[in-house]
Amino acid sequence: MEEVEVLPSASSYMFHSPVKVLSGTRALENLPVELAGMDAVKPLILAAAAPAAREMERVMAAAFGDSRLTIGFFAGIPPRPDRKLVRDLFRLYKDKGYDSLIALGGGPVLDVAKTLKVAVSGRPEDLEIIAAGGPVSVRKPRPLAVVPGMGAMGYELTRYAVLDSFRLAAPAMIPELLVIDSRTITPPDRKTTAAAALLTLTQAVEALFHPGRNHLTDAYAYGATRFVVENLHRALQSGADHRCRIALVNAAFFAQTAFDNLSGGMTFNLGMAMSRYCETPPGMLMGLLLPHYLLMEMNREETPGRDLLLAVGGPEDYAELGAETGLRKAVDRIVELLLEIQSLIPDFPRSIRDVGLKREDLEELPGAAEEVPGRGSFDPSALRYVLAKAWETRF
Amino acid sequence: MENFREIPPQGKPFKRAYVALMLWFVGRAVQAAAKVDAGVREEFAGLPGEFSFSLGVLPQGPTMIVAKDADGRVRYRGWQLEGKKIDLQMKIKNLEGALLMFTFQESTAVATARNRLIVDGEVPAACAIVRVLDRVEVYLLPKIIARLAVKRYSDWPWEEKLGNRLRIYVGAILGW
Repeated sequence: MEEVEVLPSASSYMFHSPVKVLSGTRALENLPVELAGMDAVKPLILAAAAPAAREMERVMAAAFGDSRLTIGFFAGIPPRPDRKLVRDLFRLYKDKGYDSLIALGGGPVLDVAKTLKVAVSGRPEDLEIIAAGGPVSVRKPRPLAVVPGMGAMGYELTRYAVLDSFRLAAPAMIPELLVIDSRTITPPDRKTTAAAALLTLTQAVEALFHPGRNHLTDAYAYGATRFVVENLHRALQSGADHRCRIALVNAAFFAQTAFDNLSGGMTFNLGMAMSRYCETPPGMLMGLLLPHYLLMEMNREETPGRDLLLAVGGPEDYAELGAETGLRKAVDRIVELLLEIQSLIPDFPRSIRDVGLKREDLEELPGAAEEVPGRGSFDPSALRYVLAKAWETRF
Repeated sequence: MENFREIPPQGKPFKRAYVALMLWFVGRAVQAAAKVDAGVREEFAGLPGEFSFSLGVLPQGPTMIVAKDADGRVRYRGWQLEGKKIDLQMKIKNLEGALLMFTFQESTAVATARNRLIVDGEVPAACAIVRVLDRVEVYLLPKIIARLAVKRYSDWPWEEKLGNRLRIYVGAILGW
């Protein structure tokens, strides 16, 4: 029997994830002691300007209730934050003597928290240097903890942030702490849950197809894919099942860590670019694009993702079908998952034509996909092929 | 700045009082059990000659301190850490974690696995103290609750358990 080399001796790789994860019952109450371990005793909490902010404030106040720490709570991050807000928060942080940040939620809250972290750890001018692509040395970054919600936007636990015209990327922006607690993962509408899960699935699947994939990115991508496949249906059917929601948030962290160590895939970048054109959650669009990307990859002889079924279908199906027929089966499973979501959410789009895109937008999208943060660079003809197929198809 | 406010710590006096009461009672029960139960005596005999340990909640207590003197006598030493030499400190990271343990929703083993405890001292001594606490909990609690609080419920003869339970309760209340 031929011996399979598990770790090829010639392979060398690098993997970076500084995030400490606390997930589960009463995880929030560990924040004071974790911050104390990082020499921080006065956190500033950032949250979105949303109706749920008052309830989140109550939850965070209770979590710090017995800590002897006074916390600052700012619940005014808009959907599109700008640099002026970061400057105002910088002044607030310095004037009131805060020494750490807690980002409550995802998307724009994390964009602001990460840029603010760089500003308060060094000089505010560092932001301009990073945006211009220059190196910034943050010797002692101030701690940033993330308490995520359900609506992952793909960048929360990565080195990337977007702030109006700024595209920022620096390893110093990766948060130090991730706290996943059911009290802050309130059940959102089913569309948000499905969109976030499809975004996570896209990041994980594309990590398995990335030419630079390594053993650790594989492990993270595998975990993310399994968690999504096993928990999404239940999370959509029963919003009260907090274990499924916690699993999906964990999956988002796994997928983002793999993504951060590789680079954005074609589907991810196209979905992000399209989302700006049609104001639709990017995860929904990625879900509609992903099967076409996979079918295109399936026809490539040297595609690195032949073992996708191991992640999507599980070890038993993979053992039964093997890598060759398994890839086709894995694509079928992903399409089944998409159809299942569409049957549970009647107004979930069935084609990229349903979200307000125009035919002429397809011409501009390949260029826009290259602008998306995430170090991705793609063959324009492949991007056009995936877009054309997605335009023709209605699931 | 709009949408901003500072929130001072509000405290949790009732939860703190409950945990403090439990720690006080368990501390005195350990003292009584060291006289009554051969297993507890044996565990303390295996510890260094003069030995003290504390079990408390971060950041500001409550705490219980139990010490063994050179003669092997085990005494509950109150809750004030100041001025005392403590060989083994077991700290529960927060009050909610302590509540999960002292309302028996989580056993000590599960709480440790979930990273709710910090141990400052020798690991073998910490394991011995956890075994002592498990035995004491079996005496103090009815079987249906004790099964939740300990890793394995000991199958002792009922007459021995009942007799020791009575003596430990009386000892803990009267401070023997």
